[in-house]
Amino acid sequence: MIAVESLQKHYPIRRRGVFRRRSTGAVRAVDDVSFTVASGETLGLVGESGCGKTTTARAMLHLIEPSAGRVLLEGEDVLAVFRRGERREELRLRRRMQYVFQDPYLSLNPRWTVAETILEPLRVHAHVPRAQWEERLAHLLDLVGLEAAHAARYPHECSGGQRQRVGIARALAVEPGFLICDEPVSSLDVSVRAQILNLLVELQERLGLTYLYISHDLASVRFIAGRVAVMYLGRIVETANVETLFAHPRHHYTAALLAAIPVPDPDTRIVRAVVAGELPSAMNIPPGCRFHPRCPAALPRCREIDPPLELAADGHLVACHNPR
Amino acid sequence: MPDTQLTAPRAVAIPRRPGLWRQGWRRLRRNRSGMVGLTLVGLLVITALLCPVLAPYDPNDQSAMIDYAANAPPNRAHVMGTDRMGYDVASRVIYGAPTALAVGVGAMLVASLIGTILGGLSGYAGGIADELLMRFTEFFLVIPVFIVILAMVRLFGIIVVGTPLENVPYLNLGTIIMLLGIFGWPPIARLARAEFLRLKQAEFVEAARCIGARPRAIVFRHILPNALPSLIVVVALGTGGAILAEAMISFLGFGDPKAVSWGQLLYFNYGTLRVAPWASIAPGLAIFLSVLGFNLLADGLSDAFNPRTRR
Amino acid sequence: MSEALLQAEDLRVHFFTAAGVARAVDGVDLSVGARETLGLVGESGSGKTMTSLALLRLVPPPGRIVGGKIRFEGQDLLARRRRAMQAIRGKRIGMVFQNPAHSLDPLMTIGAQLVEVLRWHERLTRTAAETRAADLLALVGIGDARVRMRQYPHELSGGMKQRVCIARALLCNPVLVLADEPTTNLDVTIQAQILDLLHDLKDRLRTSMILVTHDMGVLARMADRITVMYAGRICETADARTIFRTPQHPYTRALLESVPRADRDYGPTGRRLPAIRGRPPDLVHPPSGCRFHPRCPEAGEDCRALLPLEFPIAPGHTVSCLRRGSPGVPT
Repeated sequence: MIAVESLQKHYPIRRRGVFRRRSTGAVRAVDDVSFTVASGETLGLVGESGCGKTTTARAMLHLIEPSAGRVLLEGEDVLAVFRRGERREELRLRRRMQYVFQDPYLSLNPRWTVAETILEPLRVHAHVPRAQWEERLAHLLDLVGLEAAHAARYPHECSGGQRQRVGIARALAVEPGFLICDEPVSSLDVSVRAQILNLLVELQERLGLTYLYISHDLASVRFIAGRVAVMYLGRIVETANVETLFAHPRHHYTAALLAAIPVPDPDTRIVRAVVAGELPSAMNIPPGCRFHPRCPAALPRCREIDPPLELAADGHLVACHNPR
Repeated sequence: MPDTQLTAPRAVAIPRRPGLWRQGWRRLRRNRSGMVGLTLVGLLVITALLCPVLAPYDPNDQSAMIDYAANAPPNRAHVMGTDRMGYDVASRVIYGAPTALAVGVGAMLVASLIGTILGGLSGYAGGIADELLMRFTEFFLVIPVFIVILAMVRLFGIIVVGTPLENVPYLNLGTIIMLLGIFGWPPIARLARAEFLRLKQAEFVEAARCIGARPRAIVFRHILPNALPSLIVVVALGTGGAILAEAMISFLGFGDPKAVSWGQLLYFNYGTLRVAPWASIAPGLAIFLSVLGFNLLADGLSDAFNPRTRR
Repeated sequence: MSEALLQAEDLRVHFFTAAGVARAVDGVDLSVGARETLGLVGESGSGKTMTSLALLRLVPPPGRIVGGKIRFEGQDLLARRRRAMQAIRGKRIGMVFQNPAHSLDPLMTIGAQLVEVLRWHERLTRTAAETRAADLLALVGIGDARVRMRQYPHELSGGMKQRVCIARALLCNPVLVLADEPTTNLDVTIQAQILDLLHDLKDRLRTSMILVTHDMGVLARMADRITVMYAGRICETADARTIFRTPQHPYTRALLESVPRADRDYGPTGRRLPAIRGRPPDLVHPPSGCRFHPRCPEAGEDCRALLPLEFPIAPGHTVSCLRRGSPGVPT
C-alpha cells in the first residue's frame, strides 16, 4: 500500500561566518531508506535513538522536506503532490495518511478541549457538514474508548492514556487508511500501555488500517507488528517478518539488540552485552558498513564497502557482508 | 470507567469553551500578591473612571490662594492639604489617575501591537526575516530611550507651533504615549519571538500541520492563544513601567502642562518639599501604589497562568 | 536472616498541594540486607521514587516526611539533625539518578565534580582525590580516565554520563547505593552495558543496592528481592524468583501479564494483551479500602471497605491482599 524508495534526509552542517555560511559536511539522518508496507499489515520500524526512524516518518508525511527519494501511496507519488502546493490535493492526501504522536502531553493543544482537538480535522478539511459533527464526535470517542464526558475536558484534566486516545481519535477523524504510530506508548505508564496497544490492534481489525509502528521497544513491536525493519544510523540493516526476525536475526546489530532486551524472567540465561562501544555520532558515520566498529564479526571488507540491503531468504532482507 | 459503557450516545454536544480563563481566575484568587495587585489596579481604574465624582474640588481651583490657605497641611476643608499654588492636593491626585491609566494602557496597546507582530513574525518565519528584525530590535534597545523621548517631545512641541495641530487637546500627552509605545515594544517583541519559536516546534503544532491546517490558522488558533498568557504578564509589567516613565518625563518638566499628571505634581511641588511635604508625598505615593499594583498583578498572573505547577 | 542494613518502618510522605494532601507514601515498610539488591517497582504515582528520596531525606517541597522511622547503621535517620544527613549522603549512601544529563553540573568538568565529592567527604588532597577519581572512572569502564576528567558533561554520551554518575556514587565506598531508574533514558544496547556494569560492581564491591524502576526486565536481571508498590502502599514483597514465578498479589500478576515480552510469540490474529483496566490512582483522593480495588479482577465487597495490611504468607514473602488472607483495617 505504501512504498518508500531511497528516502534521504541530510542536514548540512554550516559554519557561521558573518555573512556567508559554508557547508562542512552533513548529518545524514536518513540515508537511503526503502521499504514497503502491504495493505492491512503492520510494519514495525525499530532502532535506537538517532537511527532516523522518526525523521523517516516525518518525511513520509512531508512534515520535513526530504533531501531525496519518493513515497508512493497506492502508487501515487505523495511528495510530488505536496511539493506542488495545491491545497485541495494536499488535503486529499492528508485524509489518507495520518500520524499518532509519541507524547500525549505535548501533542494536544493545552488550551483546547478534547472535542475541539478531535474535531479540528473536520474543520480544516470541511468534508463533513457541520450538522454531522456531533455524531462524528460521539462515534470517534466511542471508537477509542472515551466517554462522552471527556469531550469537555482539557488535556491537563486527562490522564496520559486518555490523552493518547484523544490523539488517536484525532488521527482517525478523517478516516485514513494508513497510520504512522510514532512510539505511541513509550510515554505511558506500564499498566496503561497494554490498553493502548490493544486499542491499536482492535482498530486495525475493525477499520482495516495499515500501520507503520515506530518504537525502540522491541517487545511491543513483537506484539503488534507483522514485519519488522531494523534501522541503524539512518539505514535499514534488516527487514523480515516478525517471527523470523526474533527467531533468527541475521544482522549482528539485530542480534545485539535482541540480546540486550532485559527479559522479565530471573532464570533466563544472561547474555552479556555483545556490542561494545558507543553509538557513533551521525555526523561521523563510519566508512563502509556503518556498524563495523562495534560488530563482533567484522571482516576487512566491512571497513571499505557499504553492504546493500539484499534478499537473504524468503522475504528476509539483510545488509551485511557476513550475516549470521 | 471507559471499559464499562453500556451504550454510547448517538451524538455528543460540542461544548463551548468554558473554563480555561475561569480556571486561571480561580488560581489568581488564591495568589495573595496577585490579589493585592488586582485590588490596587482596580482602585486606580475606579478612581480614573469616577474622578469628577470623587474629587472634592476642581483640579484647577486655586481658590485656596485667596484665603491664604495655600501650602496648608491636611485639614477638614482639604483632606490632603493644598500646594503652593492653592490647588487641592487630593483633587489633583485623583485627576491624575485617568492620565496615568491612559498613559499605561495607551502605551502598552501601541507597544504590544508592534511587539507582537514583529516578534511573532520573527519567531515564526525565522531565517533572514528573523535576523533583520532582531537587529532592528537591538537598535531600539541600544538607543537611550529616555533622552530620545525627552528630545522628541520638546522637538514636537516646537514644530507644531503655528500649525493647526497646536490646538489639539492633550497633544503633548498623546505624543508621550505614542513615544512610550514606540520605544516600549522591544521587550514584548523579544518575548513574542521566544514564544513563537518555542510553540512553532511544539508537537501539537506539528499535529496541526499533519492534519493539513494552513499556516495562518496555526498561528491564530494554536500559537497565539498559547503565547497570550506570557504576553499578558509582560504587558502588565510594562504598564507599570509606562506609568513610571511618564512620571519621570513630567517630573523633568517635559510633560503636558494642560494634563494633570502625578509626575507633574512632583515637578511643581518638589521645591516646597520642606514647607509642604504633603503636596509631594501624595502624588509620589500614588505613583508608587500604581506601579506596585501592576507589578504584583503581573506576578500573580504569571503564577495563575502556569497550569503545570500543580503536578 | 542477615541483619538489615537499612530498615524503614511505616514511612509516610505527604505532599501538601493546593488541590489537597497527596499521600505519596502511606505506611511503607522495607528493609535491605547487606550485599543485597532490593528492587522497588511500581508505576508513576506508586511512591517508589518518593520512598527512595525519603530515605535520604531529600523529599522536595511541598512534600514532607510526616511519619515513620528509618534505621540505618544503628541510628534513626529521621531523628537526626539535617547536618548529620550530609555526612551520610554521598558517603555512606550513594545515589544514582534517572537522567544523567540533569544530575551533572554542565559548567564543571567531570574531574572537578568527582574531586569535589572526595574533598568534601574525605578530606583528601587534590592529587589524591584526582587519582582516586581516575581509578573509579576506570572501574566503571571509562578508558582514558585522565582525559575524560578534563571534559565537560556535554562532551560525553548518555551512557558515559551515567557511568560517571555511578562512579560518583561509589567514590566514598558507600555501603548502600540508591539507583532511581538508572537506565530508563538510555538506549537498549547501552542499557545492557550499564546493567552488566552494575551487576559486576555489586559483586566486586559488596554494596547493597535499592533499585527503583518500572521495568520488570531490569528487575529480573538485578534484584535479589522485590517490593511491589501501588498508590503509596506496598502490595507484595518477596525474593525475585517468587515474584516472577508465583506472584500472589493481583496487581503483581496483572503487571507481569500485561507487559509485552520480546521472548514470547504472539499469534497473528485475535491477540490481546491482558490489560489492567482503569487508570492510575489519584493520590489526593485515593480509592477507599484497598487502593487497587477499582482495577482489580478479584475485588470483592470487603476490598472497598478495608485497607489490607502486609501479611506473611510464606517465609520472606508478604502480601497485602484480603483475597490472600491479609487482615484489613477499615478506612
